[in-house]
Amino acid sequence: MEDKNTTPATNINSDECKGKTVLVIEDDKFLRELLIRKLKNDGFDVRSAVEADSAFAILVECKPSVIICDLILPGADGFEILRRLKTDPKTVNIPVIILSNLGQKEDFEKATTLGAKDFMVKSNFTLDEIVAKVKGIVG
Amino acid sequence: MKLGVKINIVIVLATVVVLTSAFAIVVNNEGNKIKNQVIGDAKTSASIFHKEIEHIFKHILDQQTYLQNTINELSRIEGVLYIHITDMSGVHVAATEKELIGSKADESDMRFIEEIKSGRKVADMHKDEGAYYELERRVPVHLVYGDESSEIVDVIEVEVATRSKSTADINQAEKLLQVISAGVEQAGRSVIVARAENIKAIQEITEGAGMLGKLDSSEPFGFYHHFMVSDEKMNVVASFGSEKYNFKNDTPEHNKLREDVLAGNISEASYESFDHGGYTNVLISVRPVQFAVNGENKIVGLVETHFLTSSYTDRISALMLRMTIVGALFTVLLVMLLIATLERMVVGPLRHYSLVVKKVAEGDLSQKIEHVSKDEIGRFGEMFNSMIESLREIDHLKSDFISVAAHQLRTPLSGVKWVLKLMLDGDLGSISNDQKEMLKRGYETNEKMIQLVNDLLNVSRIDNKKFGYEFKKDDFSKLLYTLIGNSDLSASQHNIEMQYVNRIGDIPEFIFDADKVMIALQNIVDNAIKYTLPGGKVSVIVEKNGDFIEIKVSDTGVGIPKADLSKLFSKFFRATNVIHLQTEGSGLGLFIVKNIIEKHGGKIFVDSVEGKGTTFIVTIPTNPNFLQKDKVNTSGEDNDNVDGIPA
Repeated sequence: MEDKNTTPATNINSDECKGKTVLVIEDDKFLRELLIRKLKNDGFDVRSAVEADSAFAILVECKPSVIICDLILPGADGFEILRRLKTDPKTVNIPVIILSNLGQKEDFEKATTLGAKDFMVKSNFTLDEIVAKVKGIVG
Repeated sequence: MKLGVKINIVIVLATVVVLTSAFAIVVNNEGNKIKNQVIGDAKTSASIFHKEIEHIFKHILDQQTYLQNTINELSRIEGVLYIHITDMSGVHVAATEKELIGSKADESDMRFIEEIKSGRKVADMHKDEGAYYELERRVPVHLVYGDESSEIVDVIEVEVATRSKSTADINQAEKLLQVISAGVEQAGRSVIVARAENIKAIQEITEGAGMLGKLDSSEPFGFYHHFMVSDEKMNVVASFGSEKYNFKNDTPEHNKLREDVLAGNISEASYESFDHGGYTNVLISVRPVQFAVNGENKIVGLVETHFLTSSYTDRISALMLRMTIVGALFTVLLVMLLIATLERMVVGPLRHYSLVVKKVAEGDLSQKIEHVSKDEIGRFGEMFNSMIESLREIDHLKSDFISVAAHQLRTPLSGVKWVLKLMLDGDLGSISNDQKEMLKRGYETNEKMIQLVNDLLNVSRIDNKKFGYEFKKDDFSKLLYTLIGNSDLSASQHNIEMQYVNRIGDIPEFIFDADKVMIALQNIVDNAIKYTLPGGKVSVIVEKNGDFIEIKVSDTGVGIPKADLSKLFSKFFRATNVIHLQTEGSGLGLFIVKNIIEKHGGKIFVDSVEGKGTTFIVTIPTNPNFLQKDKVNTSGEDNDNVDGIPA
C-alpha cells in the first residue's frame, strides 16, 4: 500500500492480450515487480494493476489466461474484485489465484466460495512454486 | 454442595420449623379445648346423675322412715317387746331398736330366716317367763300380696309379752301379733320392693354413666372406668359392668378418704391415680350422697367416679396424628412449591447462566442468555450479555489484529524470500559460491522468521480454539513419504544419518487431519535434526499398536535435562541446555504438536538422556471413536487451515 499513488505499471490502452497472459493485481510494489519479473522470465505476457479500477480497465481490452489477485488492496478489496469477475459473463471463466498474506480459514473459504481457483499464502511459497501453479492452470 | 441443594435444605428446615411451631400451637390449643370440653361434659352429666341418685336415696330413706314410724307407733302398744323387719340378706331394715337398723342379724336370727326361706311359713315360738309368756312370730313377706308362692322379700319378727298366763291374755297377745304383722307387712313389702326398684334405677344410672363418652357400644369404657354408688356402710350398691367392685380391696388411704367424705369431714375427695388397673391415669372423685332431713344434713352414701384421662388424651392423640399427617402433607406441598418457585426464579436461571458462562469460558462467544427476568438475576443476565458483546468485539479486534499483524509481517518476509530465491536460482545473474552460501543462510533465516510467524498464528488460534481441524479419510503412507522427503535434504545438509523403518507395510486409509499431523511430525523430526550434532543419527520407526499407529523418532542429539521434561510442552519453553545454542527455536513447536496429537485422541511420550539423545513416541488412533469429537468442530467456527499447510 506504500505505493498506492503510483500509476499502473502497464498501459491501459495496450494491445489485446497475446499468448499466455497473466494479470497481476498487487499493491506492494516490490512484490509486484518480483512477480512480474519471474513470470516474464518464464515466458508469460504480464499485465499488472495496483487496484480494482485499473485492473478492470485492463480487462476491457484484454482477457488474460490467469489472474493473480491480492486480497488487501486500496479501494475495493480482492474479494470484491473476485465477486465482480465472477458475476460478469465476460470474465467468469478466467481462473483466479488468490495470492495474499491473509490465511485464515474464513478468508480461504470466502475466496473459494466466490470462485477462486486457488489460494496461496505468499510467504509460504517461492516464486517458482507460484509460477508452477500458474503453469498448472494454464496448461 | 450444589446451590440448589443448599437452598432446598434451608427451605425444608425453615418450613418444618415454622409449620411445626404453628401446628404445635394449634394442637396445644385444640387439645386444651378437647380436654376442657370432655371434662366439662363428664362433670355436668355426673352432677345430673348425682342429683338423681340423691333423689332416689331420699326416696329409699322416706320409705324406711315411714316403716320405722309405723314400727315406732306399734311399739308403743302395751306388751310389744320388739319389731324387726329383716331383709333376706339378714340386714335389719327397720327395728324398734334404732341401733339395729342397717346392721346384720345375729346367727340365731339368720337360722330362722333360712328356715322361713325354706319353709315359707309363719313360725311361732313362745317362751315361758314364769308369770307370763313371750310370744314371738316370724312372718315371711311375699313379693305379691296374698300369693304365698311368690318370692319372699323380707321377714317380720314380732315379739309380745302376755299380761299373764291366762288364756284370755294369751289370746289377746295372739291378736296383737296378728294385728302388728298385718300392719307392718304392707309397709315392709313396700320398703323392700321400692328399695329394690330404686337400687335398680341407680344401677341403670351407673350403666348410663358407663356409656358416656363411648363412640360405639363395643368399646370397653367411655369417660369412666368406674361409676359406683355405695351406701353409708360403704357397700357398693350399683356399678356398671359385670365386675363387682369391693371397696375393701382398695388401699387404706383410699378408704380413709371415703370414710372422711361419709363422715362429712371433707365435702368431697378428688385426686389422680396412676396405673389404675391397667388404665394409666384416672381422676377419682368421691362425693357424698346427702340431703336434708328435718333441717339436718344427712349423708347416706357415696358416688365414686373414676374418670379416664385417656378419654381426652386419646382424642388429643388422634388430633395430633391428624394434624401431623395434614402438617406433613402441607409441609411437603409448601416445600415443593417453594423449591419449584426458587428453581424457576433462581436456581434454574443460575444453572442456565453457568452453562452459558462455561461455553463462553471455553471460547464460544456466540452464546447469549435468553429469557432474562426483571429481577436482580435478570439484570445479571443482561450485564452478562453485554459483557459477552464486549468480549465478542475484543475477540473480533484480536482476530483482526492477528490477521493484520500476520499480513504486515509476512509481506516483507515474502519479498525477502522471493528475491533471495531469485538470486539463489540465478535468475538475477550468476553469483559466486561464497555469495550463494551467504544468501542461502539468509534465505534459511528468513524461512525461520516465516515459520515463527506461522507458529505464532497457530498458537493464537489454538488458544482461541480456532485451529480449524478438518478430519477426513486420508492416506497416512503418503504423509510419511512427504515427511521423509522433507527431512532427508535437511538431514544430509547437517551431515546427519536419516533412518526410516516402516514395520506396518501398507496402511489402510483412516480419518485424521493430514495437514495438522504433518505439522506435528515434521516439527518432531525437525527438532531431532536441529538438536543433533553433525555425524549423529535420526531414526523414524513406524509400528502398529492395536488401534494406534506408533511413530517413534529417536536421535543421538544433545538430549533434554530431566528437570525440563515436565515443562517441555509449555508455550515458549526451551530447554536450559539449548537456550544458549545458536540453534533457532521459538519454544512453540511442541505446544502445537501436543495439541494436534491430543486432538486426534493420541498421546505423546518423551524419553531423553542428556548428552545421549532423545526419543519421542507419538500415537495416533486409526479408530475414529478416539477423536475428541466434542471438541472437533468442522463447521465455519474454526478458522484457518491454509497457514497450516507446510511450505
